[in-house]
Amino acid sequence: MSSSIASSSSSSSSSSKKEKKISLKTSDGEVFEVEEPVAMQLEIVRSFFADNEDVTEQTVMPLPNVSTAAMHGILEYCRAHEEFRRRMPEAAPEEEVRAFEAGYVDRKSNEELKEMILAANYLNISKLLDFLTGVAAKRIENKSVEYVRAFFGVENDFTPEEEANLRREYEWAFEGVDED
Amino acid sequence: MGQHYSLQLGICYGKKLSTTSKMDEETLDLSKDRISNLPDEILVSILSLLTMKEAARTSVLSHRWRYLWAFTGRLEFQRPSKELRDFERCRLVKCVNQVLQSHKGQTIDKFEINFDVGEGYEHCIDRWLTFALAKKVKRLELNLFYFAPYSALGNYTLKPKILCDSRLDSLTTVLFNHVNVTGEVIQTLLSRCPFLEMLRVSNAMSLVDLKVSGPSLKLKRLEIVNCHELDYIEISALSLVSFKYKGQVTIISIKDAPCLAEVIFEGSYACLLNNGSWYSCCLPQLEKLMLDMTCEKFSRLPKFPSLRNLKQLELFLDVSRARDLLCLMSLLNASPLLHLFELRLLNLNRREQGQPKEWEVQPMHEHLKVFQLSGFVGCRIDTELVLYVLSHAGSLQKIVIDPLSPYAKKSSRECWECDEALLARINARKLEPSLRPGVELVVL
Repeated sequence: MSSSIASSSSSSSSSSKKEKKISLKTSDGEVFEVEEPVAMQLEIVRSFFADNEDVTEQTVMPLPNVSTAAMHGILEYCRAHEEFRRRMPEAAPEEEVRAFEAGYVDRKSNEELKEMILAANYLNISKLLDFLTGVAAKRIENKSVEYVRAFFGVENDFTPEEEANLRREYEWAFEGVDED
Repeated sequence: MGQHYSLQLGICYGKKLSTTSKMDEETLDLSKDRISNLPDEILVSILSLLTMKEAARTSVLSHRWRYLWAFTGRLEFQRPSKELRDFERCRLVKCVNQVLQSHKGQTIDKFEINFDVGEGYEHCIDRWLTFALAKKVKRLELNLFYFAPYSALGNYTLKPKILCDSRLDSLTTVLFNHVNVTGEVIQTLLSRCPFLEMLRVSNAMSLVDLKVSGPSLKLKRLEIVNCHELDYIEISALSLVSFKYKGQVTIISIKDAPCLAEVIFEGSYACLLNNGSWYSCCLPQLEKLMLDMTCEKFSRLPKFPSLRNLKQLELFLDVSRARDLLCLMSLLNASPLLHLFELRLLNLNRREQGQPKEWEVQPMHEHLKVFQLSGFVGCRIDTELVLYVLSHAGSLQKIVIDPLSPYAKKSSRECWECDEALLARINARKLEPSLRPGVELVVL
């Protein structure tokens, strides 16, 4: 379906002007022109336009917590889902959705995945957030504490003694962990 | 958790348009540990997808994560190995107690005890149940699993007091295995659980009379498995869709179940259907019927009254003594809307050779689309049956033949790659010339 996706940067061609676009500016200053129904999947955008009467079509909405890379990923997901919805308004084609999501997530590194979870939370896209947290959970299944800590980038603020005590307290949880 | 600021910006942003210029100055929080700054609900939602052990390990990540796992809603305690030694059991019990003590969520979705708790811990189980009910558990699974299933030793008895002292209106699913419950306890449960949809009771030797009824019963699925002392079951359940009974001969009286569409019978009861009184009221409305009659050698089918809504039929038969299976056709005749017929044959005698009977094409079973046969060897008996279906099912689209015995495990599929299975597959392929156009033959 990527063929039907309009170019994401600000180059506005003359032919596809009839569709309403919304301009979103990422943290690093890039402006995305996004088709309205796709942009409205971003709850933060939807409420911005619903709650503020003084915004116009020309308003560029800044999204200071979203990087350009994360935005590309988010729009790919939202556009695909908009396409599914447009084609089958009643019930999404489940198998196609699953195939898309599997392929989509395969291409994402752990870093990209985390970046997108943060962005999806900020933009308040519950469907995408549910999907991404599910993927994150899959990636840390049966992994060691060290792996999970590195995966999430958690800074360990326990002293070695505190950590050892905790491990002793939850001894049962540390049996049969996979090698990293 | 007041110290996590970075994302709160996002949450209130939609309402604060006037601060746009200020927002422009904000840049991405470049601190490394940004995931930890996500709201609790999101981190807990990730942890809720892990097993309890995995979730509990995250308490060691950092202070921020210390108690997050204690908000997850799925408390599942499963046995680690086959048989528990005393010290292992003691450790598991301690683990349950510890987890319950540290749990911080308001509610839990699922509470599962799935190990041989054994004798001496009855008061613990009482406490666990009270805890789960107080936390408004939705799915309660108590699988106390004994290795000597018939011994009375260690069987936990559910006290009516526990049910009476707690609110039960959160429960939607209850599964009890090796939990001693009486008919009265089940009735108490049913009358105090207005949203209960699924109930399974298995291996309850104290269950003698069971009455499933109540004016506002929402129960959709009922399964009674291997309760060998059971004398009598009476069912009046307006929402009941599916009923499974596995076990010995007993009296089952289905008085009022207008939505009942699926019935599964296994064990000796399934073999003695012809003296049962249940079918007079519910057979005509059934859409799915599953009969596992393998506890006896199959000789003949009971005479079925009309199954005029039946769409799916599954039969398990031990045919070691059968001379032919054409009596099954009476069942097809009784079910004019049948769509899917699954037949699983055990102990088919491959030496039963001879010329299979051939039929004139005579379309009768107009709705039958799929016929699935497992345990096929390619002798006279099964070949004859397939030929019958081919010539009498005018709308047939697919025949699936599986030479593997229905009880063989998946893992044995490979070692089954021996002469017998090969031979059965070759025999199955020989049916190809008898296929009408439009009928697909699948050999597994």
